[in-house]
Amino acid sequence: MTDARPSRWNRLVAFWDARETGESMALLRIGAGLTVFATMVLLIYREIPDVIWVDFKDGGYRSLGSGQHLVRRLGGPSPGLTWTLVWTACISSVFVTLGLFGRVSIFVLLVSYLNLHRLNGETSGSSDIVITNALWMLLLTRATVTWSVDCYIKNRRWSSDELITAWPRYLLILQIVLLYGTTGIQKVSAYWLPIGGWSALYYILQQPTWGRFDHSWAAYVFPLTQIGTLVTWLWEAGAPLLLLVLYYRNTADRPGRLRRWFNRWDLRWVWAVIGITMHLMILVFMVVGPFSPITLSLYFCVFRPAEWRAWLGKLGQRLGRGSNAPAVDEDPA
Amino acid sequence: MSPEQQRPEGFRGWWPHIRTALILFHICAVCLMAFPAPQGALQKSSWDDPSVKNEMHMWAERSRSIGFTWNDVEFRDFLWDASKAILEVRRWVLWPFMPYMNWTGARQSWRMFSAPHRYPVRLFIEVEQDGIWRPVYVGRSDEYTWMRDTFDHHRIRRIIFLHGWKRYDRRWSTFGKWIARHAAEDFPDATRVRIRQWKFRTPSPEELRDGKREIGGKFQRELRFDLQGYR
Repeated sequence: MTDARPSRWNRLVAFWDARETGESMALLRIGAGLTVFATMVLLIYREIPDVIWVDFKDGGYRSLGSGQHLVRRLGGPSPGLTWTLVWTACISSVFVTLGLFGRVSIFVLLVSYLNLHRLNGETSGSSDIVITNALWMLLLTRATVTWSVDCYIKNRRWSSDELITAWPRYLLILQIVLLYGTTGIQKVSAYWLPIGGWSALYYILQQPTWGRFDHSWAAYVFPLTQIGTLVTWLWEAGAPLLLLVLYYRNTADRPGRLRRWFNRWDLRWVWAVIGITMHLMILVFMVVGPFSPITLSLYFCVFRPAEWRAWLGKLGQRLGRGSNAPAVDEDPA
Repeated sequence: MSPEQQRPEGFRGWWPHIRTALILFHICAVCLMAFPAPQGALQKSSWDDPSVKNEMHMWAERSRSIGFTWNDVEFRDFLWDASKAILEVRRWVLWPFMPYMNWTGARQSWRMFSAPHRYPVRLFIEVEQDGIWRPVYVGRSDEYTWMRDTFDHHRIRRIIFLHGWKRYDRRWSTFGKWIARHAAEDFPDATRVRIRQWKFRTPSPEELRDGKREIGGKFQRELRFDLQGYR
């Protein structure tokens, strides 16, 4: 008698072969597209590319060398090439937001943005890496099958039930966990811990480098900043628990007291509310570029496409437009 | 039915298996890359910065309270050697993944606000007119706002932050030349430009409530440029 159960490898293959509808990735596509568009418009308006992405001999603030990949092949970071890439990124981000030209517009945006931000390591930061990592995953799935102009052109409807591969969404969930988890455990300063009086957030707000305005008010609400420090550190370092939450939700029919306890509430919402609050505070108090909007865009991936469809369908009904959105189904992850 | 049983013929049949292998490779690469390590932090000059010294002192003191007998210098030497060893292992472990990470740009660098900078810098730019130095830009000031749209952009803030560290001395000087170029254009009657960093200790909540703000501040890394050469 042979064992009918698939091998561990085949179960893994089946897991990464899962299909789902495209709502979560469509929302990420719109979030990422808008984030890059806003970033590029601000750069163009303030003429920042002439400062950071143009060589010193052409008016920039430092020597940039020959650039990477595409820039090197096209002769180095001349003002003409830099501005071509800037406008290409700006225009393609509009196409990505609208969901026009499928993977082509995502590829063009990825290549132009990647080559721009890697021109100058001094001005590139975590937000740029989150943006390009998200664009890679959008490129590797068909992120314009629904809620896009492409979908309307093909089906004469704005939404579609067409299935896409789910693994890019799974990898983006892993990306979120890595991003928060490793930044949390690298917060090794004494100020993040009791020996420094949980005062990290207070002192970060006092740095003129990143503050949007003067934060001397923080001295009068110091205990609140201490609570903020503790919650931020615990929430970030505890990010791997999100994987456990998702695993337990996905295997809710199995036994186990811990699993039952985890599934008593939808802990994804607890996680998301803390994260959204933290990022909104960063947006209000600090100037750190597009880190908050692009990271919040990744949150769309934590919830299943069918859930987004049901929630937005209900919202549509409430707004009086009517919707035939189906109930939440039980697809994996 | 298992994927093995329903596998189509040829490449289409193998593709899910190849894809799974590629995904696992990617997961290994990003997890190892994101693993905490002190890359970029092994600079003697950076360890001499008062922010870093203060941080090390706090940790050395705490370790002494639980039985270690080292002084601050010995603790620092231990950390230096341990960091070097970690980076060597990291370099060796990441070696097979580096071409992939470099080519795709899918880097994983998430050291964000790992420590507050207790001794930050504020950028000061002054021009000399009729023999008198006049401030034209002061970081976060609402009074001296020349080229504020540029200097307040987050990417330029990052430059100013990095140039506060000694290892960026050469770049700081080039940044100064770039500022001089613009000052020569915008202030035709100015003879010189002076660019400095105001380095200070951020106040504790008690000090701030007592009205003390930027404590022990002093100017550093002063650059002066004759603007005639830039016109």
